[in-house]
Order: sequence, then C-alpha cells, then structure tokens
Amino acid sequence: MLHSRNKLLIDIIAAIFILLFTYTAISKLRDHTKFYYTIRRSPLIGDKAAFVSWALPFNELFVAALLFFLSTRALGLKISFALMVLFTLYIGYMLAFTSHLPCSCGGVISHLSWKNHLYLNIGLTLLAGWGIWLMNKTKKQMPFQYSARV
Amino acid sequence: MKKYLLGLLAILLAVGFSSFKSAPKKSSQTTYYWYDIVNYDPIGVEKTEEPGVECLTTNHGDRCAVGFLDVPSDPSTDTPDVDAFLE
Repeated sequence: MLHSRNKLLIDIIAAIFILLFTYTAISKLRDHTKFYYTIRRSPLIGDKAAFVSWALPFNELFVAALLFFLSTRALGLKISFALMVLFTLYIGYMLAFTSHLPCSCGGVISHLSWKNHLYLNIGLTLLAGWGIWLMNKTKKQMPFQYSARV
Repeated sequence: MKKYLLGLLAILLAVGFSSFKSAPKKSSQTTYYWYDIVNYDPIGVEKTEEPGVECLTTNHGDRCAVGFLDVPSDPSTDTPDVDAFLE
C-alpha cells in the first residue's frame, strides 16, 4: 500500500517536471531570437548566449525524456534536482548582486517577478529532492519488485 | 502503456499550453524597430519589426538591438534615444 503510494507520488513528481521542462523548452525554442537577446543581456552568461540559448532548451527536453522512461527516471530526477539548484543559485545571485534583471525563462514563467520565480524554483528543487528520496526509499523497501518495474 | 500515462499527459499538456501564445501588446503610439548600434551608439535604423539578416547570421549582437522608440526625443536626429536602449 505504502509502496504503491510512493510509486504514484514519484510518477506525479516526474510528470510535473516533464510538463515544466517540455513547456519551457518549447517556449524558448519557439521564440528563440527573443530568448537569445534576453540571455545576451545577462551579466553572468551573456557572453555564452549563443551556446546557452540552444543548449538549455535541448537539455530540458533531454531531461524530460529521461523522466518519461521508467528505466531512466532516477537519473532524470537527479539531473532535474541539479538543474533546479543551478537555476535557483542563478536567480539568487542575480537578485543579490545585479540591478539589471533580464528574465530569460520560457512561457508564462517569464511573467513571474524575480522573487516569485525564486520561490517557485526553491519549491521545485525541494520537490525534485523529495522525488529522489522517495525513489531511494522505495528501492530499499522493495528492491526486487522495484527494479523489476524501474 | 498505463505506467506512461501520466508522462504522456504531461507532454500533451506542455505542447497544448505552449501552443497558446498571446499576441504581444503594443501601444498604438509606439513602434519598435531594430537598430544597428556600436558601443551603445545607434548608427542606423532598420525599419523592420524583425531582426535584419546581419543580426541573425553574424554573431555581433552588440550591434543589433530591438525596442527603441521610433521617434527620438530630438526630432532633428535620425537616431533613437540611447537611454531607451539602455533600459
């Protein structure tokens, strides 16, 4: 019972990140020129804008694919966690040390204020961390059954 | 197939949401164009709402930017407001 509930929670967490990464990647690719010029204005990564503007959305799609397949979901959750930590640190740095704040996020997320974006990212980082914890816990509890499925 | 249901739903939602894109709001009195600039100094105006070929094909974004007011503060000049760019 507890095991199946954990599996459902892991599925939901993975689905949330698939939705998030696919949506933001498509938004960035659809409006790539705008995304590129917004990144160019960033004091941290502006000089790597050409590379980042393509690498970031494709990386997000890649992570979404990892999360989709059960055999790679654990790795996908770990990379999601790492990405969210990176995004959160970036936003934290920009808020703390930069007066000029160009938002290069995709879709409706770009309408959030930087502070709200920071809160959202912290929440998503915790969610990814929780997903990893649940996955490890489920693996320990039912290693045989879990590996048969995942 | 059932175990991939949530993932499929998430992908469908993501594609669906990203299909809806509201048209950019524009003030009826303001027109934005692409400008050719050097060191924050506008040197010319491309009367187009899309970036010029040069902006897209070459890697000199320092020379291209969008979002300036079409009408500069000083009507005797052809160049836009640099302050507007710096914002």
